[in-house]
Amino acid sequence: MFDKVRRLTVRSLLLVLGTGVTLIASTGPAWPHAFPDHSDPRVGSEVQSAPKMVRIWFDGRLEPLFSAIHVMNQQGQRVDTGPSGVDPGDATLLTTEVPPLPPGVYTVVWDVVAVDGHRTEGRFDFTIKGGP
Amino acid sequence: MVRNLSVRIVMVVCGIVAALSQAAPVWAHGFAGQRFFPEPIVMEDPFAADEMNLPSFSYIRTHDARELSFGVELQKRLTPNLGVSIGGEYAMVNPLDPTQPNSTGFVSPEFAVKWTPYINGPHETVVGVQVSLGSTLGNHNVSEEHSSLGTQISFGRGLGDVPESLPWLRPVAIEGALGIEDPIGATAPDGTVLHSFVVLQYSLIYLQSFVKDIGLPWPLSRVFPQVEFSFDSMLSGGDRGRTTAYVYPGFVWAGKYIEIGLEAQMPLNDYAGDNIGVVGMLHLFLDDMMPSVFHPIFGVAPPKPALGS
Repeated sequence: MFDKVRRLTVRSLLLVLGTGVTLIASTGPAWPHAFPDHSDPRVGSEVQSAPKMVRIWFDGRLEPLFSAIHVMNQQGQRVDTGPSGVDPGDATLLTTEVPPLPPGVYTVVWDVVAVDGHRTEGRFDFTIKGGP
Repeated sequence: MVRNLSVRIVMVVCGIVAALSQAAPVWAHGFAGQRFFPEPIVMEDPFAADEMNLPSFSYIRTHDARELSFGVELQKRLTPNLGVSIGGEYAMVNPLDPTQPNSTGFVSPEFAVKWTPYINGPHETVVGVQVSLGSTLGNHNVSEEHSSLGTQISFGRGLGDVPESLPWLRPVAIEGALGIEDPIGATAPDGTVLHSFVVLQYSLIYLQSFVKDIGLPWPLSRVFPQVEFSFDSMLSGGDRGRTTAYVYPGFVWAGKYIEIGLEAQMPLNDYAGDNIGVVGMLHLFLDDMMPSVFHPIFGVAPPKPALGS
């Protein structure tokens, strides 16, 4: 009986893991509730020169009306000048333009609704080392 | 007993009234602010959800038997913060004493109502309350002989707001739960049990998305290394004062539609035995797989235009 139990346990483990791996491989990295995939500047990065744009690529398509991005300085003031929002040619891309920014730490704040209606939000910092 | 039952009924009614009276936007399941709390394997988390365990499993060798079980649980939201669930198990118990017979069958199903009355996004905090009823509908050779009534309060707290001098601590989350389970019925031999849980978790996706992009590729970036602890303490009955404690080191992986989890079950004290077991699950996010079918039935507010737009 115990051998049967042990075999069943191992098979169950393999079945669950195998099913999980199959589902993982078939669905890809995207989350229905959109989550950042990568950004420019990168999260927590230090850049030598000020960027002209801040961009976040999400792993799901966004609803333009309910999605936004802002850039704040260390004093909590908004410094992006727009236009900002979901890129018309790529519904996974959220962008905003920024003027030449002085060295310092900046916070990117985003708030999005994915096409499935789920809302997610977040923020991250990046640092400008050199001048504009 | 009657007073305990009355208190719990009042709690559930208050939760239903409060939840139905508040229309809320449909947040993605398991989120408090920018913190995603994946479903733990052992502990019941604080969130009402449209999700399913299909299956969960556990295997361990105790002092007197080898026990293997498979479970299924379906959770359904009534409102964004109130949900119900039903769960069941199929168990196989193989006594170490060869003179004792094996026992197999369906364990009595459990029904529960879960309310999430508090979510604080900026501080990544969530609190949940659950009332559950264990039935006697299963096979008697693997089930309790009496019904039970359980109440649990649980919480989750992400450390995303720790001082900036501790950036590598920000992906950490702590979850915990405290619950009481009472047998129902004058002839119930067992006593009241205090169930306690703690989960310590590190979120690699939180690290990548909000602290520092270290270039972790998918699917590694979706891994949550974690360790769970469980403590079951008998508060009355013949085993009063006895606590059975386990630690469960392992991980969960959360993706687009599913979550998988695997942990070792390791004894922390003598009552838990000497052997290492294993627990795991395949968890389905039904509201993401079929959003037109699985969503809160009542009290959903439409999304608002985003900040500054």
